[in-house]
Amino acid sequence: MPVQSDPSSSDPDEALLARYASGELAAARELTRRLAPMVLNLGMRMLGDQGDAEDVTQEAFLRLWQYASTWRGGEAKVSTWLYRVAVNLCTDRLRRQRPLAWPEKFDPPDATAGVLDKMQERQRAAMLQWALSRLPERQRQAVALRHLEDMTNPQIAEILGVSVEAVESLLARGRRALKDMLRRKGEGGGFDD
Amino acid sequence: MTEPERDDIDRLFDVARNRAIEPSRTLLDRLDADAAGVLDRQRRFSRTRPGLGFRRFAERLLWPAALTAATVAGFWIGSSPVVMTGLRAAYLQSDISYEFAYWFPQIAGISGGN
Repeated sequence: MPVQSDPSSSDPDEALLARYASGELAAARELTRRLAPMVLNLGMRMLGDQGDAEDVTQEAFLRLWQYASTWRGGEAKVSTWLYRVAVNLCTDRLRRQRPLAWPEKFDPPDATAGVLDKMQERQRAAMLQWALSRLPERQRQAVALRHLEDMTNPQIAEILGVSVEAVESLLARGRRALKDMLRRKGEGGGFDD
Repeated sequence: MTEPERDDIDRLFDVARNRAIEPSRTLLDRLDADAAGVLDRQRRFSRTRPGLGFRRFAERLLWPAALTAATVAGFWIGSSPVVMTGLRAAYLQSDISYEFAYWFPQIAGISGGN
């Protein structure tokens, strides 16, 4: 199996991938423990459904395993590559999905403080999910990577394959659109309890 | 550069960010199974196809050799007296040779075969 990545690479993920490509299954196990949480949470934040997020994670890793033997070291970080694949897989799923419904039914069954907090937290997450699902594709990707994954603009630019200036523009327009959507939903621009 | 003002939308992002989940045991098992499956398929595939050495040999020597052979064959066919006889006869019998001889006397000798 031709391995073009270097097992002694300074990127630990790349070194693990190279070890996997040379037949070491334990390296794959270690790689999934390192990167699966990141991909899973990205899927969860972009899709809002754990089952879908798990499917995206599995598909992204499957592609990584298939690509491992021809991986070219030094071209991209494994984590960045995985993010890019996962973002594209999420986008494909979102295209096929019907738009999410506005989360209205969130009556807490038990009005204790803890449960209320939990419900409000869930409602807020669902509101954001609803608004995100209505953003244009590129804006949604940029906003999710910046504000949910805490990535820098240059990192986002690399993942989306656009310039940093384009990312800044996508973020500004995305934030504005999110605010407008939520404001129009009668929240008056505020999302207070 | 000052920190941009945080607003309500940032609070929503904070909530969403804090809802991190861990991969389940089942998901990790699925990922491991896929990794093992791909490795297994690639091992089986590599057993049935030519070795790396042969593939490198093919890439470095066979292709240039084949290309050179094709070029040489092309020249040979082009300059072969058997092929040339037919082509030359066709050319000499056509109006083109007459036109050439008339308008370009200096190449008439060539057209006439001298």
